[in-house]
Amino acid sequence: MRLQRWWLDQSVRAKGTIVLAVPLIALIGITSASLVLQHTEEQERQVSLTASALSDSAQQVLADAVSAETGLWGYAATANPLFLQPYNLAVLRIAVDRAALRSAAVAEGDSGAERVAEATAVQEMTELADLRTAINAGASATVLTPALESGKVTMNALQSQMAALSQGPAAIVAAHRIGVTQLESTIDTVSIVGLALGVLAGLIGIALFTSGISGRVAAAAANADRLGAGQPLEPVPGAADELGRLAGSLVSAERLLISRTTELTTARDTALTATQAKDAFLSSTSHELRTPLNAVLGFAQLLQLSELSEEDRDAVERILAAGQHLLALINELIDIARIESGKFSLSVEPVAVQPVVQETCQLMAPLAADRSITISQHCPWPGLAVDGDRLRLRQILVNLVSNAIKYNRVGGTVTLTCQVASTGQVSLAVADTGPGIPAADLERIFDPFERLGASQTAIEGTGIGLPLARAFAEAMSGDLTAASTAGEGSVFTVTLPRAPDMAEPSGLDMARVPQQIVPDDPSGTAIRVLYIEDNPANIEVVVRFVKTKPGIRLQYAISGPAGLELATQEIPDLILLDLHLPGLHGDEVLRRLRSKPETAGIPVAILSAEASPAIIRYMRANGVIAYLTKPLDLAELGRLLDFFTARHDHEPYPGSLTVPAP
Amino acid sequence: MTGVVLCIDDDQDNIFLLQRVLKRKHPDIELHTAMTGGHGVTTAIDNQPALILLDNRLPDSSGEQVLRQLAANPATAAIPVIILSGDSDPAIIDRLLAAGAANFLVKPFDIHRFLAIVDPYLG
Repeated sequence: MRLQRWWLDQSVRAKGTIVLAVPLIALIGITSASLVLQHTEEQERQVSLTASALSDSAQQVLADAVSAETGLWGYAATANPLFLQPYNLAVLRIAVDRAALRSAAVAEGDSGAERVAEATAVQEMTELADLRTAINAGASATVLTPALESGKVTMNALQSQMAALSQGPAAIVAAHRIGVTQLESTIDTVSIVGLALGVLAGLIGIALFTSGISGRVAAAAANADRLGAGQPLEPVPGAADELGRLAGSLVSAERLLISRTTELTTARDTALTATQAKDAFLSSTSHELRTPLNAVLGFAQLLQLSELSEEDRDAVERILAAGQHLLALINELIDIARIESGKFSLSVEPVAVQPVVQETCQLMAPLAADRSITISQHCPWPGLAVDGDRLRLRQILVNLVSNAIKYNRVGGTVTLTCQVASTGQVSLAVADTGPGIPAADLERIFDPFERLGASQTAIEGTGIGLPLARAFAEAMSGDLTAASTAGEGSVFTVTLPRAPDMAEPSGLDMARVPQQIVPDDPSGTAIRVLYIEDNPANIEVVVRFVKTKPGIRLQYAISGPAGLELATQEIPDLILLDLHLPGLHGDEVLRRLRSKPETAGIPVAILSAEASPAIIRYMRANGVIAYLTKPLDLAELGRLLDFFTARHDHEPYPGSLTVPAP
Repeated sequence: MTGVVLCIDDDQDNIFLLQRVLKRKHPDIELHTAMTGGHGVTTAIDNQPALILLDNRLPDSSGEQVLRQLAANPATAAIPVIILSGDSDPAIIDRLLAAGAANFLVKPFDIHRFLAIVDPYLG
């Protein structure tokens, strides 16, 4: 257990070193042991060789002496010089053999015995030489016999001395041979055991590596995968090495992840609760302010409809005006609150700029006329478009132009200019010829209720228009800025992202449009439907369709003012209204219809190619009874017309409002 | 037509105003009122009005809840409901229309616009 702990705590580098070192050390140990043994064996062999060299050379010297003696004896017996040949050879050889014996004895360290033996050999050879001389001189046997016997004695001494000299080394050689044999078997044993140990150490190393590293790497990788997938981690035994730290880090990361998630959830819940509370507050505020105002404005309108004295009428109109002002204030305040809480939903889409500019100028024309102010527009780019919310863009422009009129000099001018800025954005500038705004106040005018002293004057305004316009511009990824030159006027510029140019509206072929009313109405009971539409093709479609429906008298007008005039001349039972009308936008046509008591009650259905939910919602809020999108669903139009032709049957209008598929 | 209109609203002034406005154009209209959602639903079941005008904030429930109760009951599901909303939040208005409201008006409303919207239901 302790060993395992120790092993786990070692660093990966140490583990790798150990795993490699164990078999390596085993191999080195075995190799060195083997080398030492081999060296010892070599020494042993050398000792044997030296010993046997002494023995061999002693035998050789003895053999030389014996050979010389035998030869000489043969000569003595026969006097045949042929027998002297071995003698002569031995005399020549013995000198060499003696030298070899001497050096072997020196190597063996046995010089004393060698010198005695060599002296005996020299004596023997001298005696033999004397004998040969005597034989040559023809000495008799009696003379030769004692010499021969004496030689025999010397030879015997030599033999015993040489034998003694050989005996020591022979014993040494025999002893060392046993040692060498033992060493050889030891080397074999060491080699086999070493090989086995090496293999075993290798196996142990692999086992250690598997248990200590690769298995744990796999476990750590699996845990990393689990962490990535957000699953709980598998427990891994702790260790102080890199892998242990890695496993520990994964556990910390998991803990951190859990705590962060908890924090985020809490923060989100808190924010959600706060947002919900804010939404609820906004909703309540809106409701609580609007409800009493409804009674104020409603009864004031009722009073307006009754017979009143001039004074009372004036009083009622003041109540209405103050109520409307209050309503505008509430609407703008709630819009600002919604923008700030991020709850304001804009319907951003490509919007053609020119029609919005024209509508704005038309809407503002009466106010401008009151103050003898000329509005001019420079927007010579029919297809120019921005990404924005059409209604809010118009609201911004209306606000800027109405300010430019209100804060202008009598008889001044207001100029609305479209431009593509160097940044690629579209800028819409509203310039006036008023007194201008001091540079120090230029940013202040964007603060709510900052009217630069205008509240003390007769100039009407809520004091939120500019901040709201700027908030709208910013919400549409744009901007609203002001510049001014004292005495010359001010320029307010709204900048919005440019959208790809939109196709120019097709020119109207007025010649093809029949100018007045349609069908036969022999009975005179037909209902009257007024269609306000500028596109001849659409008029033709509706005219043809209505012809298939008995009981409908269709009138049409190709412009807003013409439609309004027709509606006032003879109150229609139903108005079908296009929104994109030249001159007067459909929305404004509707507003003007509602503003006159005699036309306010006419049911209006919108027939428009404009299908954005924001526009539809806006038109619903303005009380249209149906919104049909183009291309027209004739079945839907049929149901609408059928309802109005059958209204004498006292059936309630189903109130369907076409909602285009998102 | 002599129709019954049910107004579900807790604001007395508003009920009075609606009554005056409706009577002006349709003298024969019978206006029933309920000041809570619960009372409004039972009145609608009992009286079968031609049209219901519903405030979207009531003491006991929201206009949306009342709208859903009316739509879920076969006795009242076919009656058109016009919301008189004190909240101009487009999201709320969209939700009410999706829940089956025939139309809506944001308070304070122009009385002419109000009449233009309710007229088709009153014949």
